[in-house]
Amino acid sequence: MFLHLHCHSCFSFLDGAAGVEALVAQAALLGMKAIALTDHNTIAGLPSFHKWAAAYGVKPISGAEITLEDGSHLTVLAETRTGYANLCRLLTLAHTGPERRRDPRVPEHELLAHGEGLIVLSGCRRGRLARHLLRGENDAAKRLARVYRDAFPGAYFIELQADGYPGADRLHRSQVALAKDLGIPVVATGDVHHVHPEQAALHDVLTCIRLGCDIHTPHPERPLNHTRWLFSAGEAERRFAGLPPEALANTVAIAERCDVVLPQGGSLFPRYRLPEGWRHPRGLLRHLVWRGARERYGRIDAALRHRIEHELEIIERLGYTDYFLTVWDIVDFARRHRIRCAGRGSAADSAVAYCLYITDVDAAGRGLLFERFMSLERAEKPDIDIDFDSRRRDEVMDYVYRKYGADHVARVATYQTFRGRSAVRDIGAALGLPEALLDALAKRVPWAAHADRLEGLFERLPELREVSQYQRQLRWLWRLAAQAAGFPRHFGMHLGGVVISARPLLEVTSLQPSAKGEWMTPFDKEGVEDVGLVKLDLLSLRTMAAIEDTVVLRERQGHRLDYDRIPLDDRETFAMLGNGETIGVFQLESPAQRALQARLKPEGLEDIVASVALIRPGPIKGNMVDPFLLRRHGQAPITYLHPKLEPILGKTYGVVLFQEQVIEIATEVARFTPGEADQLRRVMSRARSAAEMERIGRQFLEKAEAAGVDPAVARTIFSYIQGYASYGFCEAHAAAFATTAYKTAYLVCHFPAEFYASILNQYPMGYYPVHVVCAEARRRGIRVLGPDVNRSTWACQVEDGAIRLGFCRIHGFREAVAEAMCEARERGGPFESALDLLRRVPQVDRLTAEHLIRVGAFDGLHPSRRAALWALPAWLGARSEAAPWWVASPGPGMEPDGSGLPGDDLPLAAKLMDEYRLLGVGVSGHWLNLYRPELERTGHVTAREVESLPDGSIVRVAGLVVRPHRPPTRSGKTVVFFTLEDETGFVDVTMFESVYQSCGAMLFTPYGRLAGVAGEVQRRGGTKPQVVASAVWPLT
Amino acid sequence: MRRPVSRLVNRPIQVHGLCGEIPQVFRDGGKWHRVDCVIDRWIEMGDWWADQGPRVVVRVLTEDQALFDLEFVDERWFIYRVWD
Repeated sequence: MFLHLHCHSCFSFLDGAAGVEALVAQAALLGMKAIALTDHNTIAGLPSFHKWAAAYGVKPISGAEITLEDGSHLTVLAETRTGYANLCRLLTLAHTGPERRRDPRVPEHELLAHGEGLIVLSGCRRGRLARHLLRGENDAAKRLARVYRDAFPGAYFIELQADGYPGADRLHRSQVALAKDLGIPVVATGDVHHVHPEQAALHDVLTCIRLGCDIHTPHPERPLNHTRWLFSAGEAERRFAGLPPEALANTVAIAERCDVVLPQGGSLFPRYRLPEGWRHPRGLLRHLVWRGARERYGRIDAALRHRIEHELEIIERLGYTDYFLTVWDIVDFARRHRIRCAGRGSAADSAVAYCLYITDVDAAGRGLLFERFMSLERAEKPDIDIDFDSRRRDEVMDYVYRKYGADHVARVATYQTFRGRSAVRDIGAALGLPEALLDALAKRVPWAAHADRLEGLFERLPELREVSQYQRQLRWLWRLAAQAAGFPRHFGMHLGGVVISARPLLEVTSLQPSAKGEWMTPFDKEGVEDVGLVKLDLLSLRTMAAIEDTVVLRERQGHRLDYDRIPLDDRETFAMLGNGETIGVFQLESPAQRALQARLKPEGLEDIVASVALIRPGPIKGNMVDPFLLRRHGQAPITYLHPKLEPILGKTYGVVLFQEQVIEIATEVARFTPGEADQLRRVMSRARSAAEMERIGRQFLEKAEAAGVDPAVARTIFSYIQGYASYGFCEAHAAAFATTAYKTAYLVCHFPAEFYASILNQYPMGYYPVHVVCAEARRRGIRVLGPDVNRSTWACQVEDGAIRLGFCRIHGFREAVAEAMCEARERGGPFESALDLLRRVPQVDRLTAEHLIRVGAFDGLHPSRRAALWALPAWLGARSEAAPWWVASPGPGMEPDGSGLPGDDLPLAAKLMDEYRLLGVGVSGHWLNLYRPELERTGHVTAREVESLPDGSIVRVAGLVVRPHRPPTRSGKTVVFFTLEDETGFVDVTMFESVYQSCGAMLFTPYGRLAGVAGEVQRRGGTKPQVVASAVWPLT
Repeated sequence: MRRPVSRLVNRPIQVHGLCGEIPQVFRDGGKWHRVDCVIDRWIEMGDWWADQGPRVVVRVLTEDQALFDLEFVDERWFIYRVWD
């Protein structure tokens, strides 16, 4: 008998080529009753490991392969809960210290001091014992083994690995002799790094990525052979024949000794610390909820009272009173400190959350079902996500740390997995493909492409197909990328996830510092839930900051803007939305959303909720947009594929819009159990591999057929579900976003200058680059003024109805320099010349001054930028008061203050080049100004002219190409959407497959930044015209 | 002390009398060598990207005290390296 006690998964990052499920599944297939997971210096994979182990009926043994301070390895298994806590402590210590974040090392004395409950195996060839023995340092090996034998009585084993490496036989002989000499037991391990032998290539490539070399470069850390796979007991007997048989038997003995130690289930959420005068959390929560209800609703009728009582009862029965109080407390802190916030996600299904000001969605008023958020049947942990003003979210986080103590609070990890682009870059480089080729390929791979679908993409997309060389390497690239799909590539900190634990966190998880220095658990959001921690998502959202900025800008002008009391039925706002004029509006600004708004003509918040959910890859791929619009406007009958769908989809006119609907369909149509439905939700709620979706699809079809559903209907229904993978919104989340969307639309409608200035201050945010935001402001008649040394501040401001760009918009400008300039201005009055500024603000260096000139910030003092640039070196030389006057003179006839400089200026093209490069937008004009005479001569019309042309008109337009993208389509054919921006506004363009294949690929190359388009004007039922392209060409 | 040096050869050879996986006698350049003992053995992955399979390498000491690394690739034996 043999069991694997030394296994690496993909959580060993670039030293593990086995998915966690694949490891466990193979162990089960081989009839192994237990398996250990021992990733390098992390327990990150343990929650997933335990979940799959439970699913496959295999006992999970928790461990890690730790690295000691001398770089040697040691395999550590947790025998008991105490051992697990010690392992967490050791791994935390390993990551403590500035140089240890990326290079964790466990201090040996800590291991020896905190060894209770741990079983230690002597490690692989990089273990110190093996190193000594391979070097023939037998005495040193003996001393070391004795130390560990005595420190871990009965729990130290010498690890034998039949890995087919040089010196293995000799090492085995030495190890066995030493074991016999000191009475230490031996144990056989496989040092598993991949599941099957043929995956050794992937392990090799991942190692090359880690080492920064390619496969043609020899390196001692690259795997020498393919032997580190998850072999069977029979193979173990063959490999370890000739070695003491107890080496195999001990694997079973150790597995039997080890408990299942990872905390699972339960809740580790802390009790809320009650303020004076309160004895029970229940009483406090009820008091706060009813107080909030009176404030929110004014009058509480019987239905509302019943609803709130019902929610409170479920919250209390599930034991989440303290959780709600804690979230309320955090939101209350934010509100008291004027930190703008709004809840999102399924919490918006809760009237209690609304009354506690956690969300802004009136769940009772909108008829949202609380059971979708929390129910006694599912008894899931609640998940509340709150967006805070991005600039001040950390204040909220600090409050949480202060209140609950650093030992009990940690951030949650997140893992970026191998995706299409990263796979091309990383694996391609490891395969030795030229960097330039990989760069070009990666840029052309669609952003969201899965790593396991690259081969298909390269056959389909013309801009990728043109690569004709390196076919053999590219085939390997597709194959290996598919194998690595879904593997974690980078470990990072979740944007807002934080856990608060009743128990000291080190009893539950190890901790490690993020790049920002915050301590985080290595578990991701699913992992923390699995171990009983409850996650809060305290997110930072720039939209919140932009909203707050708008309020402040209004206040500066002497107007109060009460964002919380914005009317939700403003006609002008809905009219604006119905015209598709939504650039800058939260969630509604993409070309697809703008087109949708123009067709939908929203009349109430409900329509915006639907909009938010509709323009997602799921509904688009499921071809749900047109049926929804037709049914919404009464132009098509409402039909259902199956009678069971009517109660589920009635609210959305028979169209699948929300994630909950998918779950309900699975439960009703295919009779999924709550566990299976939850699995489906998890598959849907994040980008998984295609294989996982296929597997759950098979399950759905089998169960639906068994429930008597026609197979063809079941397949169609599942195609809706499949379209949803990773992109579905739950209704409450859509409602929360829709509320913010509507309110930002109100700001755009009534205070466009303030809101667009605020967006520019928060940039990067939203869907569009700076020049599009400015173009939209101009289209609305708002002037956009360039930075000015005598008028600008760090932030963009509103100046007589115009937007004055702030210094923050100048690439690379430092806030401290801007502050110094503003202070100097306040102290000594406006600058009289560039030299005056340089003398009064020493922080302005040569590059900063040059940038100020190039963006026109000195235009008010020195109208010729060319002359100012010419004079700058002399001004810099003369900034010291002591310098003689002639040092500052830029040339004959010119004065140090700039007067007398030549009047001829840079041409418009040069100015625009500088402005687009440094500001992201032209303030002297638009790129298209340069082309317009020729465009007029050749019959091109402007974007504004397109708006007045009837459907069917054949036009030529030209402009800056904005955000070309190829969203997934139901047919699988490529449709390209992009926007052309010219000096008069925008026109949206749709390009179908044939045009894309013949000439559209250039949009995704550097030649596609400025383009001309020929095509037909179409409105498709809306008021906003678009051009359906018949040809596209680069504008040169 | 002089460090051992080696020369990469990578030449196919004729072998006789396999004992398990190890040749007992092999012929290189017209000369027969009898294996006295096996010093070490290991497995290498090979150039998988060129569709090569794994190779077995054995380091043998011949009766005439010469040290060779013999390699078994794609069902053929090679002298991979000669040690001096």
